[in-house]
Amino acid sequence: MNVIVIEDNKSIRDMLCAYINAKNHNATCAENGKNGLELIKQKSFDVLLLDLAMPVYSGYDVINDMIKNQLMNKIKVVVLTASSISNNEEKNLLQKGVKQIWRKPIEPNELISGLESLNSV
Amino acid sequence: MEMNIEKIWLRYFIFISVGLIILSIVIFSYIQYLDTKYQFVEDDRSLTIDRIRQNLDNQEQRIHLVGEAIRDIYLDSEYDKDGNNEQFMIILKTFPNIKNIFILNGDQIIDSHPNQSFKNSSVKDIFQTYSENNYFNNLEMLEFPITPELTAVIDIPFEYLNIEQTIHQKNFKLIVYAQDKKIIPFQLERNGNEIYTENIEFTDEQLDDVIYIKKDTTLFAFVDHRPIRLEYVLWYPSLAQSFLYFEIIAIIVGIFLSAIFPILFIRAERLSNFLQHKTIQLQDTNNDMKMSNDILKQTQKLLLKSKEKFQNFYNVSPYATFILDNDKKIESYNEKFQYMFQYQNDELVGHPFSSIVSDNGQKEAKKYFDALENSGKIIDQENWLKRKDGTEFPVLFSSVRIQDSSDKQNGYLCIILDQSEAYQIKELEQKYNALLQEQLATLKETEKQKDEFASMVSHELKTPLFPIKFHAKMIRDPDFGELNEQQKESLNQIYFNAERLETIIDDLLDSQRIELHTMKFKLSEIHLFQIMGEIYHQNEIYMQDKNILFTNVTTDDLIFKSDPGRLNQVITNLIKNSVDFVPDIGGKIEMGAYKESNSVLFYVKDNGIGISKEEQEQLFHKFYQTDTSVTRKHGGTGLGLSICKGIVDNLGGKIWIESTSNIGTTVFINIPITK
Repeated sequence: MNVIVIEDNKSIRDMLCAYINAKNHNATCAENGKNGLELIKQKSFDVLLLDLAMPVYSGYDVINDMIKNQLMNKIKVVVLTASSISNNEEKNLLQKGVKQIWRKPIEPNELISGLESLNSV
Repeated sequence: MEMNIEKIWLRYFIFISVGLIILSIVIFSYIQYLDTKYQFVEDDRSLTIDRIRQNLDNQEQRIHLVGEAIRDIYLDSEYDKDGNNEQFMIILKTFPNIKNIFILNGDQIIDSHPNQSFKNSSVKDIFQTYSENNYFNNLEMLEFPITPELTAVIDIPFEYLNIEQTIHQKNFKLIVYAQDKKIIPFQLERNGNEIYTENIEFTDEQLDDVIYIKKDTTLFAFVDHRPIRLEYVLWYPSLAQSFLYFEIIAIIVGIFLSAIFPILFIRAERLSNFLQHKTIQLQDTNNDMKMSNDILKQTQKLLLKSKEKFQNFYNVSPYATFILDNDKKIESYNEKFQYMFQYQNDELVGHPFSSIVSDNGQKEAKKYFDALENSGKIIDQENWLKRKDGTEFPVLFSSVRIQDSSDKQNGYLCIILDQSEAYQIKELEQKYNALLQEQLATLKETEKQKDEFASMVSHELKTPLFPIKFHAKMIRDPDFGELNEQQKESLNQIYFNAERLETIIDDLLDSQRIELHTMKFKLSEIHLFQIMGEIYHQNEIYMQDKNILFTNVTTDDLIFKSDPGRLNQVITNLIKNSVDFVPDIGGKIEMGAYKESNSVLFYVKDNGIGISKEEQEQLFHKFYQTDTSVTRKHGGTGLGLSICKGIVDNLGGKIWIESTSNIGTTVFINIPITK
């Protein structure tokens, strides 16, 4: 499974990528939405692990851009966020094509099993 | 009402008129009756006269014979004047009816036969005697000239002249006396009864050959110039007729009057009513005029008084009052004005109004006066006026057009209220308002900042915990490398403490959110049985190594709307609390939920040491902890229950405790069912 992680916090970003790689998957990290989007356009990924709260270019912006570029069909998007978002926001994201919404903090095993089950669908 | 009066009077007058008519008829009838009683029919009269005449002619013949005889006697020389003469006796024998024969020489009787006693008497004496003895009733005296000096008078009884006449169905005996040169009254006999001799006055009238003359009480008639004595009551023939005419006229007049009178009377009545009415009206008008006059006088008095009052008011008014003339020049002003504008008594008289208006206020002032022209008054118009020293101040300006009784304009009455104070107060108000707004904005900003800070803090605090926990778990993964037991335990501790830190942070944040009413709730449909199962399952893991009998006895199932996450949080909190209080061995915790009327009742029951009544009160307060030694085992912040209460309150429910010392504690939550 090819996973792209867009997360502005270095510590978390490195951690996630390291663990996913350790679990025999291919993880690519992007430190901001713009870079991440570029990478998505260039390469093919199975899953996008997207942080919402990012400065300048948030996770929402990434999603909207992906919709514009019709990239939502090409990749399964999972939102991983520390923010408490409302039911309406959740609905909105899911309608836009986001597959799952996970909360930080997440357990390692939950993370991996979640990604794997998502990919197998 | 009038109609009734008319009727009444009509009735009266008809009655009276009819009465008059009847009376007239009655009188007429009576007169007719009298008339018939005494009527002397002309024909009858003339008849009578003819008969009288005839008789008299016969009588004359006889007298002629007698007279001739007497003359012969006297002319015979053998006549012996003294003593009874045989020849006279022969005459008397021939004419037995002759009572007396008188021979007159002028008035003197020189011879009388048969009665010699009358010799040398005067005729007057004889007459007197005859009168006294009522001879005249039966005798007539006839004259016959013998010689130029001598006249023979012959007395003849009336029988010869008795004429019985039937007049108008009544039997009258007309007795006619003929007397030479004498006038004798009429006597009328009816049916043998003597009737009155009435004094009836007749005018000199010639009725055929008869002349009737009344003398005293005697009526004399002359027939062929020879007087005859008529005793007769003559009823003037046309009297009845005249009276008839009179009657007819009277009746007509009566009817006319009876017709007219009521109308006249009613008219008069109406007229009098009308006049009365008019009189009353006139009186009323008069009274009204008097009253108006009085009122006028009073009004004048009042006017004078009011003028005085006004003057007083004007002078001592606390408001600056002044009068402008039609050209808007100042005519006069009161003391307050002087004080306000710092002008002396007469300084401003004749000056235009604009001289007390500020430069900026001139335009406004013009506007006001235009409005004043149109409507006649302006009230409390704002403007800035100018004092003598040039200082300007805000005022409220009111003015009214003065018009006298003939609607002629007489200038304007103006009042000024100094608004300096009010203006200052307004300015202060505005200042304070501005300040207030500033502070409000600052406050809002601070609030916003606090909120932002809070969310930033929450985000920032929790962010590091994620890697801490994740790494701690990650390392333990065999794919990351093998560890010994001590290392594993160490990582456990890291993880455990990270979790604890997370809990504390969450609690603090929740508590703050509840305090600031910023906690968000995600409401959704909850299946009771399902959620209780989930909560049980999550906490079951926690209980595994603690020797606690943990059960979920929920059997009811229903759907209700609430925040599943927060409910979970609350119940989990209660369960975790119970863990602290149950005995080390044989501890029991039971969780359950069921429908009760309109709510869902949740509970967490334990067999712990219980909580006293006093402590129950305090339990839901922030930071309260029972027996710090016990809770320190698990390290609580004391926020748990207050957060639970906050959440339950916000979900519209109630939370309470039932506890018995050393037996156990049950915490109940009541959530109303909403769909």
